[in-house]
Formats: sequence, structure tokens, C-alpha cells
Amino acid sequence: MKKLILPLLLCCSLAVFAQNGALTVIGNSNGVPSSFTKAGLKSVFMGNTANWPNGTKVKLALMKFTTTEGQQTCSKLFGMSSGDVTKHWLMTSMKGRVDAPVFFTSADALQQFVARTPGAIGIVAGAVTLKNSKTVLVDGRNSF
Amino acid sequence: MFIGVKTKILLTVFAIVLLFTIFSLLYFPSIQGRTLLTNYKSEVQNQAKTIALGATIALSEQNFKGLQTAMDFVKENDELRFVTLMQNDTTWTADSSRFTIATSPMVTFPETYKMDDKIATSDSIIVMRAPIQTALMNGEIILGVSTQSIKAKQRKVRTTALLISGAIFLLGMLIGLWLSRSISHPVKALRTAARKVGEGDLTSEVKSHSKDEIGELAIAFNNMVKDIKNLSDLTLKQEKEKQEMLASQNEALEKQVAERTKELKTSLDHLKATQAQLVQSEKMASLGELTAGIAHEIQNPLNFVNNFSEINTELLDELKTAIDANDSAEIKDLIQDIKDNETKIVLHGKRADGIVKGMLQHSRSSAGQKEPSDINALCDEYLRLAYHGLRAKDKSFNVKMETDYDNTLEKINIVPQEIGRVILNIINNAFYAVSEMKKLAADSYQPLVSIKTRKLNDKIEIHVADNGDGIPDAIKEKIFQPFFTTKPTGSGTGLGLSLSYDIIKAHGGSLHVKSEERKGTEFTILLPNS
Ligand SMILES: Nc1ncnc2c1ncn2[C@@H]1O[C@H](COP(=O)(O)OP(=O)(O)O)[C@@H](O)[C@H]1O
Ligand SMILES: [Mg+2]
Repeated sequence: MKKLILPLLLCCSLAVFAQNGALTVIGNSNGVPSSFTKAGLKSVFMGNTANWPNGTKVKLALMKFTTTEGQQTCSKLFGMSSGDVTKHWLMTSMKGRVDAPVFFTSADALQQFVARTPGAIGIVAGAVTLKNSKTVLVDGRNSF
Repeated sequence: MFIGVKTKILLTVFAIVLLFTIFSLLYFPSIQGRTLLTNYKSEVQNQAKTIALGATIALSEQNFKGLQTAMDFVKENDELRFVTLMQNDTTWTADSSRFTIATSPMVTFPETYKMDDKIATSDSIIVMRAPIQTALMNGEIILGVSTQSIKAKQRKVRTTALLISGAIFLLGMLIGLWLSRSISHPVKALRTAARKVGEGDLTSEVKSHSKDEIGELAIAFNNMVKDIKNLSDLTLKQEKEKQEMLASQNEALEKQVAERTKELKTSLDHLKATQAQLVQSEKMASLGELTAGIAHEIQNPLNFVNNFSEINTELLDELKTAIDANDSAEIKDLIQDIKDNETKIVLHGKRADGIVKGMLQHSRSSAGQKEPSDINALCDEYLRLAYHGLRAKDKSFNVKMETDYDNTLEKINIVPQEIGRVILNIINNAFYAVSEMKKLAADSYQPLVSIKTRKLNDKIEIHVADNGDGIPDAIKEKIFQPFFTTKPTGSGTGLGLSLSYDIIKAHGGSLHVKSEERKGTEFTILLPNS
């Protein structure tokens, strides 16, 4: 019973965050720069960067557009409908220069992915809680 | 056309191998190539479907993993020409009553590739499409793959087939060669042996190593040759025995033949002597007849001479008396009579002299020289000679003789004694025939012998006909044969016509006979008029 309740609670709390509309960019300690401009961040998430300055491969992680965070990411970061973003990535991944983002249904899973994947960068609603990952500043702030 | 067993087998094997080679060279690679192509097409189709599925999942679930994996997989293929994502844009009319769907390429890999949306599978490219249908968009994945590798594979298959068929062909031909050799060798050996046997060499034997029908045949052949040899040895032995027997018999026979020949030779010599004697006697016979005729001829004038001499002797006595009486008239008459008689004596003496001279002339020229002779005179002379000759033997014989001489005849070159003898012989035969007929016929029978001469263009004819007893048909063929006679011994030799025939032939003429039994006979002598 306890095992069921915990994720449920987590979901609720995330929903609260989402409603608050604050998104946090988290990154793996390896390769991911500590800060971005918002435009730079968008460019990264549009698939324009293949490798980080230290050579680590860029790994993008996003919440699915069916989740609140996902919807918010579309509007706040891309400024496009989720469909357009999906189509954009469909085309990009077919071109094959960069890997498409990995989409998650839970923030926890996303955070874990970022923590264990070198060069991974993701967008969640909430704080960094795991080892090997950090909060990336956007325009000098913790969240946008 | 002769085709050897070897060639036949070789041709058969060649045909089979060729068929197989053609099969493996044409059919096999084409099937293989088609299978390869079909497989490749379906593989490409699957890849297109996989990409489409990946895209569908990516669109509906924002999971790009599958799409990326599919794309990575497709990109690994060197033959990939392009992958295009096509989007169907639905455009509604203003009043939203109708729509059109336009398909446009959304993205193509590689980006440099100029995509023609009507592209289809061709010889050089395989194009496969897979639909994408999601809430977000409809479209399709078009995958284009070059056929180069498949062609290379097909080529490889063909090369392999070629190599394999070549190997099979070679092997087949080798086997064929071996087979034909292994069959034709013993067959040829058999043929050679059979020929040798045919030529009489019974020592030839076929060496057979093959344990098959040919081997058995060789063994059977050898057995047969052995049998033939045994048989021929036996036959030879028998033949030798027979020949020895024959040789001894031959020797005996030869001895006998030699003896007989000797005997025959003596009898032939005898016969020849006898024949010569007979010919001589025939000559003598005709000489006798001739002599009789001649004697008669001389007798007649001699009689006159004697008679008139006697009369003259008487007249001379009367003359003596008349002189004594000195009767001058009587003397004159008597002298005249004596003179007349003397004239007659001289005349008949001269006649006898002429006959003797003629005879001498005959005997002098009996060497047989040809001289121009008057045929009519010759005929007349010998007719008379024959008649008197016959009358000398038989005083009672009487025959009517008719002569008909052609006055236009000129002298022709003949040996007069020989032709005379021919005429004499034929007339004598005719006299004999009429005298025989007289014995058989009625009292009213009047014997008749006629002689006639005629001149033809380049020939002269002498006909001697009689109304005697004739010649039976059965013997007509034989009368010219030497020694053929129907007359009793002493009366004929059977050589007259035979000699006559030879004489006429030697003169370049011919002798013919026409006869009817109990009616008469006619002999015709034809002589060349020269
Ligand atoms: N004129 C003839 N009439 C009948 N038979 C004839 C006459 N001439 C010949 N022959 C026959 O031919 C035979 C042969 O004649 P020839 O050779 O002269 O021999 P030969 O007078 O000695 O018999 C005679 O025996 C006779 O039978
Ligand atoms: Mg005669």
C-alpha cells in the first residue's frame, strides 16, 4: 500500500508545481554547462547541438507532452504546439544528426535518467534531488 | 552414314550434359536472381514498414527510439538511396464541404537527395512505401534502395552457375569420354577380332576386363571362335583326307585316261587310214564309171574304123577282080567307094584321136588348176559320160534325159575335173534313184533326168533333177555327211556328196537339195559368175 501511495503523492505535488508554472532545467554533472540563455536552451532542445564543449554527446530528456510539464515545456521553451515539436523531432531524427529527446511520463524517471547519463539535460518541474546531476541556470535563474 | 558406338555414347552424354548445363546456366540463375530480388524487395518493404511504425510510435507516443533504430539500420545499407517522409495535407474548401489531399515531402534523407514523388521501382531502384496514420498527421514513408547489390549478387550467382556448369560440363564430358571408351574399346576389339576371324585367322582372342554384357559378349565370342576353330580343324582334316583319296583316285584315273587315249589314238589312226582308203575307193569308183564312159566313146569310132576297113578290104578284092576283067566303069565305082570309106575311117579315127586327146588333157590338168571353162559343155560331156558308164554296167537301163542350157553363159573360172566330178556324182545319184524308183513304180513309169543351167546376176546355177524315189526328210540333213549312204555295200561309199560339197565350197559356191519322197529330187549348184 505504501508503495502505491508514494508515487501518487509525488504526482500530486508535481501537479502543484506545474500549476505554479515553474520549470527547472537539470543536467548531468558530466559535460552539461551550468547556465544557458533561454534562446540557447531552446536551440539545444531543438537539436542544434550535438556535443557539449567537452565533447560529451548531448542527451535530451523531456516530459511527454501529455503531461502538464510537457505541455508547459512546449509553450514556455519551444513556443510551439506539442504536435509541431513532435513533427520537428520526427524530421530531425530522420535526418539523424542528433538523437531525439527521450520522453518520460514521470519526473522521477527523468531525473534518474539525467543523473546516470553523461551529457544528459532535461526539463522538469521540481528540484534536483539526485547525485551526479545539477540544476542548470536559465538566464541566471533556477527556473523559468 | 556410319556412326560409331563411341560417337553415339559421346553424343548422348554430350546432349544430356548440355541440357543440364543450359538448365544450370539459365534456369537456375534466373530463378535464384528472381528469388533474391523478391526477398530483397520484401526486405525493403519491411524496412519501410519498420520506419513507418517507428514514425507512428514517435508521433503518437513521443518515443523516437524505434524510429532512430530503424533509421540507423536503414542508413547502414550502402544501397540506400533515400528515405522520405511524405505528409498528406488536407485542404478544405471555404465552406468546409469538400477537401483535397496534397502529398508533399516533409523530410528526406539524405537531405541533398532530390526526391521525385512519382518515383517507382525500376531496374535500378526499388521503391517501397509504408503508410503512417496518426492523430497528428497522415503520410507515408518512401524508401528507395538501389538494386546494385542485388545485381551484383545476381551476377555472382550467374558466375557461380557458369563455373558450376562448366565444371559439370567438363566432368560430364570426361565421364562420357570414359564411358564411350570403356564401351567402344572392347566393342572395337570385338570387331577387329571378328574381322580377323572373317579373314580366316582363328587364333585371335578378345581380352575382356569389363564385368558387364560386353565382357560376357567377349567371352561368348572367344568360345565361338574356339568352336569354329575346332570345327574348321576337323573339316580341314576331313578335307585333307578327301584330297588324298582324290589324289590317289586321280592318279589311277589319269593312268586309265592315258591308256584310253593311247587306244583311241590307235583307233583314230586306223580310222584315218580307213577313211583315206575309202576316199581313194570313191575316187576309183568314179574313175571306173568315167573309164567305162570313155571306153564306150572310143569304142564307137573304133567300130566304124574296123567296119569300114573290113569293107574296104572286101572292096579292094572286088577291085582286083574288076581290074582283071578290065571293067573300067566298075573300077571307077569301086575306087570311089573305097575313097568314101577311107574318108569315113579317117573321120572316125580322128574322132577317137580327139577323145583320147581330151582324156589326156583331163589327166594332164588334174593338178587342179582353175581355167575358164564352158559350163554347158562340161555338163553335157559328163552327162554323156555318166550315161554311157551306167549303160556299160547295165544294158537294160533306160532313161529319158532332158537338157536345157542357158546360151548366155560365159566361161567361168573353175577346176573342170572337180566340177565335172561333182556333176558326175550328182547325175549318178539321180540315175541310181530313178532305177530304184523303177523297181517300185508301175510299168508306166518313165525315168527322167534333166539338167539345166541358168545365169543369175553374179552367179550361175546348175540344176540336176530326177523323178526318182526321193530323199526322206529324216535323212535329208545327213546326206552331205561323209560315209552316209543308204546304198548296199559295194554300191556306195557315202562320200560322193560330201566331196562334192567340199569342192563347191572351195569354189566359193554352195550346194542345195530339194526333195520329195517318191516324187523326185533336185540338186542345185551355185557357182560365182567369174
Ligand atoms: N538323187 C537322189 N535321189 C535319192 N536319194 C539320193 C539322191 N542323191 C543322193 N541320195 C541319197 O544320198 C546318199 C548319199 O549320196 P552320196 O554321198 O553320193 O553317197 P552314195 O551315192 O555313195 O550313197 C545316197 O545314199 C542316197 O540315199
Ligand atoms: Mg553317190
